[in-house]
Amino acid sequence: MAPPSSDGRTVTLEVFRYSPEQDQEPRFQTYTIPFREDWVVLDALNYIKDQVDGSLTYRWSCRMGVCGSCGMMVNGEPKLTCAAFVKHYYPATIRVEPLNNFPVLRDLVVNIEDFLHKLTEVKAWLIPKQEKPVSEGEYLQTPEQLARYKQFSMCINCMLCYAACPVYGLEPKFLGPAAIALAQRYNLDSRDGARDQRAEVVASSEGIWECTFIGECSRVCPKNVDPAGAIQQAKVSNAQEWWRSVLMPWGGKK
Amino acid sequence: MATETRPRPYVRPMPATWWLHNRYLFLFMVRELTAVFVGGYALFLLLLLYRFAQGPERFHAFFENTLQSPWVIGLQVVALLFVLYHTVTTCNAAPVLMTVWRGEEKVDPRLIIGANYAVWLILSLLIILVAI
Repeated sequence: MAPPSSDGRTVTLEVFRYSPEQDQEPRFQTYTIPFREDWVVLDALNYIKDQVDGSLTYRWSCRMGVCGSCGMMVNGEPKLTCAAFVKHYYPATIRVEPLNNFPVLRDLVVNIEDFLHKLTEVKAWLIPKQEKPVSEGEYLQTPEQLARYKQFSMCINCMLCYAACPVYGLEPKFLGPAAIALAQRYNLDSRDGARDQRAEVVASSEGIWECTFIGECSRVCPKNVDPAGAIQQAKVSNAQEWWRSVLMPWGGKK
Repeated sequence: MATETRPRPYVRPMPATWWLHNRYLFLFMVRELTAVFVGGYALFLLLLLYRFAQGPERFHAFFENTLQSPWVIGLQVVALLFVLYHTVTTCNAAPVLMTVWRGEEKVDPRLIIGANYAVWLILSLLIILVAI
């Protein structure tokens, strides 16, 4: 890592600490470190870990907003710390906490099992209408068909939307923004045929109907996925389907 | 394989003041709470209709005795403000719900918002014309 600037400026970070072996309650530890114009919060944490306190624990990987593992609360807002510049907060103290609404394992590391479980619950993968042998070639798709779901496919599973969602905070059973957006991503894919399989989970009271459309998920999303849009659009299409099944002969099915 | 024993993770309580955390959450809560007034106003309109059906004398008495009281006028002004807030927020949220595609492109959300305001304006004008 490049040495910190020598202009004497410093920045103070207040970091959430929790050691399950020692602490009953979490505590905040203050670190005053050199300020650098080009640092993001993750750089500051790396500096602390390398130079000041090696016991500080947090997740990160790519450092370029793709892997989705460095999500934390920065001054109360869910952020990818690799994309949150220190200079935007300087000279104020920067408070770094683990993502809201998740149980804390240690320091800034949260337990994400619930989210991973929900991803499998909604079957967030492609299930073709009809499997075909490789010899028959690819499942083709036009750019127009791709455009229908592309936005929702940009999700990097960083879980900032879960940290921002008060509904998930109050009701952890809620499927949550990213899982529903990803379900919608496959439902809207012309190659997919598992909409009905997903509906049992997605169109339930713990799925889309739990959402009250606060919109915080879309506001904090670093990839512009718009999970709130995905959920509301799923509500519209599910409601339309329900009316069709009630009003049309044979449930609207041919 | 032996089951892993891990120390208990720390679950942070959610403060009751979560909706004061930022202005978006606050405005959301305003919308939720003022819905009571919007719903109440719908009931009030039903009451008006009921009085109206009782004939001109009864309606006139109701108008003089109840509707002209400063309390009712005040409530109506408050309800009007809240209904306007709901109308504006609903119109602005429309593009999230209605995605209209033109080929590979989504139709500009401003167009959808504009269309909603236009429909609102036209319906309001029609109602005013009929009332006059």
